[in-house]
Amino acid sequence: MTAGGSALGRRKLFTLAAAGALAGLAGCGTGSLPPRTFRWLAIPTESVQSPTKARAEYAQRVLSGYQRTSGWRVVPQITVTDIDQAMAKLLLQASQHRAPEVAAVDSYLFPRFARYANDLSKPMAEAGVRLGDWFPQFHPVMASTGQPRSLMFETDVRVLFCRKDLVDRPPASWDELLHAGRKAAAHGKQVLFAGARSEDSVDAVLWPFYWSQGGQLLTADGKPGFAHGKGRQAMVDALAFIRELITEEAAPQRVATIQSNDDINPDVVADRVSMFIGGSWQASQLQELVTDGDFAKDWTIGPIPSRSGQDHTCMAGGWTWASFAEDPEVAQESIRLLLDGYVADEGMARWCTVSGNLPPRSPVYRNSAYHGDAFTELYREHLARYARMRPLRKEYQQVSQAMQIALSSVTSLSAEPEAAVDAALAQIV
Amino acid sequence: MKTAAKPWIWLVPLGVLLLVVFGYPIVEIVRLSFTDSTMVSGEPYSYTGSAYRSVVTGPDFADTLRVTSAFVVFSVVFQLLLGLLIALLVDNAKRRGLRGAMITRTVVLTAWAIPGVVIGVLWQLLYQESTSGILNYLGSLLGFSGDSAFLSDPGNALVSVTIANVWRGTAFSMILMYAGLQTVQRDLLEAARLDGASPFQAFRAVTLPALLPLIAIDLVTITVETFNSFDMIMALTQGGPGTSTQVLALKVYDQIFTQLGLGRGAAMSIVLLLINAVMIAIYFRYHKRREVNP
Repeated sequence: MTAGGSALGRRKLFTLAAAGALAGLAGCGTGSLPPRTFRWLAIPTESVQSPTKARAEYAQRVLSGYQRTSGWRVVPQITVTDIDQAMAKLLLQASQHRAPEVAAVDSYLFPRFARYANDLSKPMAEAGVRLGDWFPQFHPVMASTGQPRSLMFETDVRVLFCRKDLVDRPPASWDELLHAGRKAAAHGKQVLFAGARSEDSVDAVLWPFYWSQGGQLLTADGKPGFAHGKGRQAMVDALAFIRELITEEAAPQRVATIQSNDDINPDVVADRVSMFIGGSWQASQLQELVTDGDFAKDWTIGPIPSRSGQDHTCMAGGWTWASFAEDPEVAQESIRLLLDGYVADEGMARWCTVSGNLPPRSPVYRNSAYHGDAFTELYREHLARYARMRPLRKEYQQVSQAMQIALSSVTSLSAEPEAAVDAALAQIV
Repeated sequence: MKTAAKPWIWLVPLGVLLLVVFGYPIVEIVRLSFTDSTMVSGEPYSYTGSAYRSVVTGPDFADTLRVTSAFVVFSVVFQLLLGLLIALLVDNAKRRGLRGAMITRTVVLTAWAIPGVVIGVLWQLLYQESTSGILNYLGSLLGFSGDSAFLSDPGNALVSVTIANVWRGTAFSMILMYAGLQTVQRDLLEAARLDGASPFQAFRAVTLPALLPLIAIDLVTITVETFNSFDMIMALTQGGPGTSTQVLALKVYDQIFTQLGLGRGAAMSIVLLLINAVMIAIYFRYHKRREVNP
């Protein structure tokens, strides 16, 4: 081999390496989708790879049915399981115009995505779906910019679940909850709720206790609504009541380790619980998990107790679909998949039956394809009467994070309520 | 000859790679730390020192540093001591031809090979605060209450997390110490024994000096690794209760991904980077001094 030949070989090698690197970089990009193809991003529990067989089968059925009838190809994508991280990444992608064409967005975060999402007025009108069909508290989420830019396809509410044999009727006020909790605790059955440092904890317990006293989490200019005055007192009192539940032994201190509502299920199955604050989706889970009895018959639900026994509130969450497609044809086609499979009457009815979540549109409750559980009528009433969304401003996340720490400090008995609120306020920059 | 005259040509690919995957991110994170940027590209941001000001003056960061320091100091000390102890035992067992030395080494190494998230979940099962929890169940068999607050009490939680981390990290120290023990000259140990040195005296005069370079490497490596601890704590306590187990890496994650405060999160990650850089600088200084005075 000559020197020239060797040099040529190296040059070829460099060329090949450069071509390979460029091909690799191109593969990492998002602009290389074949024609008549779009990406569909779902959260793991609702994707084609959901650990719940029925949900995975439903997603698969919707996708294959759509592909068969439309001739378009859908590329299913799945977020990471850490929802905070998944939404942060999606927000970054959306702001750089490289988000999947359609994606699931956590409802309370959607206003931050709204300016990158497509206006859905036209496809909604064509499908005969009206914004007015959704419960009113969801309108600001879906149409924060004036036009509907997301499609809320499922929701949930937090309620108080009570064992009928241990509690005569669901306690309405804090005093009644404490009294009934202490009475049941004497028989070894305790009140449980998520009290760890998590979004679930503040959603299920702290916000309803605070809201029911008339408190607002954020003022009109985005400042904490509990910085002083009545708001501060309401927050301190809410935390003080949570602390009292623990110090009076109605609830165990280990609520400080319960991160999510679902973490309560094992204790319910093990027959250690008299009452728990949980999500509407848990009833269908527990119906299957509780083998020694009938959950629907043995348990009842009530609104989350308030200080006065009136003015109940609870937090409603849920997920929305949004379209980030830049090509109008892709946008129109991809949104049709969502409308048919998840949002229009029939699709939402079937999906909510499978997922165990609640339809956010009131007409769907009357649809013959929708089958809820034993408590669905009550959930619907709670949605209409008590349910609220979290503040839609970006400042909410910092306030929530600070109050998660405050709640966790109180449930672990490491801080007094006043000190916990002060520490939270100091943390909010 | 040509290539020998231009060695930098061969360093260019590596240099470019380092610049792209290491240099650029550092420059970018330093730049972002002087902004009030969020995660969103389109949202306006300005250049400011407010992120560093709030990190220095805010009580939350000082609290995080306190927690991190306690976590790192106790983790490192116990990982080092237990690693050395197990390595001595395994080495002794091997030299005496005892069975099980290899199995012991493998079992200890398993803890190191398990991903942090899995370790977090495993220890969560151990620490569960009812009789369903493995430790509480065993405790109840021994006459304890069976409801020890391993994770719900802030003081206990930090101890519990540190113990889990010591369990996880001891194996690495053990392997390094074990490798070091293989370099100790047996005839020196034998000479010390013949001179009437006790086992402790022989360890101090012969074994320990031979191990010192490896102890230094181990110290730096596990300190940096412990400062960067994230996955196991995230799975075990998520930083709670309150902020009792919130270490620096977790705080950075929380700032950036939960609160979308990229500027403040970047400033905190610069602090973490500086701490690690100082640790590595100390090691290099020590290494250089040993080269001069072996």
